[in-house]
Order: sequence, then structure tokens, then C-alpha cells
Amino acid sequence: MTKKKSKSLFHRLAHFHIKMASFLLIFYLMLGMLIDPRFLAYDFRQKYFALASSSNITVSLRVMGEPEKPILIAEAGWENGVNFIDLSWNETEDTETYDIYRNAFPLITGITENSYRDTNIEKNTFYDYKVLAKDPLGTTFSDKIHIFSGDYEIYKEPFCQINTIANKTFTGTPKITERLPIFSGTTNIANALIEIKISGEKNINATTLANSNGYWSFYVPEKLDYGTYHILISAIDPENSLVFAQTNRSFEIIKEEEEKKTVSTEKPLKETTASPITSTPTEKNIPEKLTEEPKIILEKDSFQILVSIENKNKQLYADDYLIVNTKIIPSLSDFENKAILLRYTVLDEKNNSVLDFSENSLLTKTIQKKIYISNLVPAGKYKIIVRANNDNRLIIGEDFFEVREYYLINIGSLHISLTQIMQSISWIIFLLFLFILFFLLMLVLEKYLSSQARRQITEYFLAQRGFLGKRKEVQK
Amino acid sequence: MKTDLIVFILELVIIFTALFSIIYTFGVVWRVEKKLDLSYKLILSAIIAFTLSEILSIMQIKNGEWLIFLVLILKTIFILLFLFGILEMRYLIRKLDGELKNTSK
Repeated sequence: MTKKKSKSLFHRLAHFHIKMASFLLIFYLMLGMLIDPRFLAYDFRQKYFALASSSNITVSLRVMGEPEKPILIAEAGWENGVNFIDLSWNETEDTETYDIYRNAFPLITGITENSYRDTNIEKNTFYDYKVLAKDPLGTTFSDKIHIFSGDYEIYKEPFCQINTIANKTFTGTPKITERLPIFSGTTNIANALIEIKISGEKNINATTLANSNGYWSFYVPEKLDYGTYHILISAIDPENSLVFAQTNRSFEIIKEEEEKKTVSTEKPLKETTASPITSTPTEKNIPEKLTEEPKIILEKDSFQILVSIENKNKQLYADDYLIVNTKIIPSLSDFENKAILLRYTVLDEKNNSVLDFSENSLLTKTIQKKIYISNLVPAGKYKIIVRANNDNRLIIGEDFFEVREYYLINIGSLHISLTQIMQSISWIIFLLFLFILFFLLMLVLEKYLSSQARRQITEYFLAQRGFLGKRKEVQK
Repeated sequence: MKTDLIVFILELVIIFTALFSIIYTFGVVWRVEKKLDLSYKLILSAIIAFTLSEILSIMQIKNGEWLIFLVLILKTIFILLFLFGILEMRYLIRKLDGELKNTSK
């Protein structure tokens, strides 16, 4: 009697559990759909055709969307002593410009053609390339392509070039309307120190850094007056200042009304000049005659600011301190113990200001500043600009850093941050629930099997003692 | 990249097999009594501690040194309970073999 009771109680509990589990499953599914509208409905949202069939009018509307995914092809080759990797991709819809990434870092940005020859490569090296198609509504990456550069002998002369001014490629003397232009370019000196000298209505001295691909960009943080300017770019090897390349260019800032009337016809003032030094920029490779100072002399007496981030790998998490070292060069003997007004600006990838403050600092060899990066600063790549005015010349130094987001879960290559979890909370609840349900069902099954076994053992002994002898089940 | 994928797969295998171990050890605990029951209860606790430590080790929390400490503690608990479970089982087997006939246990 008691056994029957316990059996039915267990069964009732199992039934109740299954009912509750089914109800909760449906409940969380519905909740997920309500909280996150993208849940299970993503495909429907991707449709961009609207049809109106009443009164015999059919409207087919195509909404501009993110660019189509480029299909990238790469081929390594060698021609006239130059080793290269040719990249080409299809012309994608809804695309204004393309950026090329090499080993996850920008190689060149803002190009409009759908091919590029990368000559800034090392032999016997694997490279990963990706193309980013861009338009105002979004960006789309191509698949990554992995290619071997080959084992050809490479002769590499240092070079430096300006690719875009105000996000546009150009020929001759570009006439732009942006008074806060962005310059970008490439050099074949990895991680080069880029010195930028703009002269004209306003004078600017700036230093920035190229990435490991030799790509650099510079954003003018203060409005330039209308007029003609001359920009001189020097890319200097950080390990050997005798290895460098220079290029210069004139550009004009005009009012918007004038833009339509003018057509740029002028040619660049000067072609790229480079120190004739071979591929690897080490002391061994420098010819003897070049151990003297090169003929193209930078204005060594000019006032410069060098900014470097001290945080490990130039990375930090939000709610932490950014340690910025500002070095004023050349010698400080003239300025020592004098106060200077330094303005610190932190810009995000779109050059929006995240932080901006000024501070009077006593000139020392290196000025160290700890800047608090609050929790509100989202993860991403940032740059810090430190500027000062000296004799009517704006002096700028900048460096880059990355604010990282903490991954809540980190399994091998799978990194899931809290934001990602919150973005797909409905799916996570759903999957977790399924998992727990499966786990509980397995436990219930195991419990059922063990109680069955115990019942059979008990019945076996009872039958042996003659208490249950008449029951067929036990006899079996 | 390949190493990352292998790590990912192995981590999943560890967590899933650990959960299955919990289920089946529960099954044994429910079936047996006395010494064998105690031995399996100890092993079950050890497996639970191990599973928790594995789950926690894939989590990352800012200023989470305490998390590393917690994982270490759980691993210590795991190995201690596992050892006690094995010792209990060893004692039982020795008793069944007749080695420990006259002991008070």
C-alpha cells in the first residue's frame, strides 16, 4: 500500500514537473520575443520590398542598406625587383569607399578602386587581408584571405605618401572645404614616427605613429583658416632615425561656394624623397656615406611634442587610468621650470571628442599624466592628442590606445562580453533553460531507475520469505 | 586559431562530461547504502566542486583575482573529497576481501 502511494506520488511529481517545464519553456520563449524584437524575426526584418496592391498600384521600394560583401582575391608576384601582393575584389553595391586591413590593422583607407597592389611586404611571410566596403549606412567586411608573400629577393626603398586629404583621394593640389581635415597615408617603415608640418595661414607641428603596416592618419584638431597650406610628412624609422622618407603636398581650403567653380589642376610640389636605404632598416644596411646626417634636414630646433601611452600594449579597461607620457623636444634648457598650457583631447574612431581638458604643466623632461577613463567610455580604439601653442605655432603630439571590454566568458576563441549577453538575452535564457531541463530530466530518469531497482530488490527478498509469492511480476 | 578551437572543444567536453558524471553518480548514491553510499557521496561532492571550478575558470571578472582564488579552492576541495572517496572505497574492498575482518569499523 505504502509502495503504491510512493509510486503514484513520484509519478504525480514527474507529471507536475513536465507540465511546469513546458509552461516555463513557452513563457520564456514568449518573453524573449517581447523583450528582444530581433528574436526569431531577424530574417523578416531583412526584407526590403514593400508592396501596395490596392487600387492596382504596386510599389517596389529598395531601401539603401549596408554595402554588399566584397569577394576578395589575392595573388603574390614579383616584377622588376619588386615583390608584391595584388588584391582585387568585385565592385559592391551601396559602397562609397574601401579600406584594406592587413593582419587586422589598416593598410590603406578611403580608396575608390577595386584593386590594390601591396608592395610593402616581407619575403617568406604570411599575410591576412580583408577589405572593408563602406557607405554612410554601414560597413561590410570581406572574408579574410591568407596569402604567402613568396621568397623573392626584395629591395625596398623607404617611401612615404599621402593617400587621402579630407577622406578623398586627389590629384594635383586638392581644394577642400573641410577646415578640420583628416590626412592619411602609408609608408613602408613599420611603426614609423610620423612628423607632420603644416605651414600657411596657421602653422602646425605634429607627431603621430604609423601602425605595423605603415598606415598613418592625422586629424587636425583646430580649425584651419581659408587659404593655401603646405604639408610636409616625414616618416622616420623608430629604431634608426637615419632611415626616413619624406613627401610634401600643397592643399587649399576654400569656402563651399567656391568649391564648384574650382577644378584642381596643379601638380604636386615635390615628389616623395627618401633616404636610399635598403630593405631592412638596421645599421648594417646603411651605406658608409650615409652615416653622416642626410641632406634633407628636419628642423631640429623646432618645438615638438611626443606622446606615448604607458599602459601595457596601449590597452586598458574602462574605469581605469590612462598613463600618458608627454615629452617635449628638443632640449628643455630654454624652457625648464616654465609653465606651459597643455591641452589633452581624447578622440574616438570617428574623431568625436570623448575627453577634453587643459592643464598648466611645469616643463620637465617627461610630463606624466594619469587620465581617468570612466565606465561610460565604450570599448573601441581611441587616440589622445596633446597640444600646446608656441610662438604662434600649434604643436601637436598624439598616440593611440584601446579601451577593451571585459569578456564575461572566455573559452578558447569564443569571447562573450556582458553587452553581447544582454543583446541576445532571450536566446541565452532559452538555451540555458533547455540545458537545465535536459539536466533535470536526466536526473529524474536516474532517480526513477534507482527507485525501480530498490523496489525490485525489496520485492525479491519479500518473495523469498513468502510474503509476495503469488505475484506474477515477482516470480518472473 | 586551431589551438583556440581545440581549447574551446575540450572545455565543452570537460563541462558536459562532468555534468553527466554528476547525474550518474547521483544514480549510484540513490541505489546504494552505507559505506558504498558514503564513498560515492564523497566522489559526487568532488565532481560537483570540479564542475564548479571548470565553469568559474571560463568566466572573467574585472579585478577578479578572488575568482582565481575561488577556482583554486574548489580544485583543492575536489581533490581532497576525491581522495577520501577513494579511501572509503578502498576500505570497503579490503573488508570484502577479508583483510579487515577484526577491525572495529
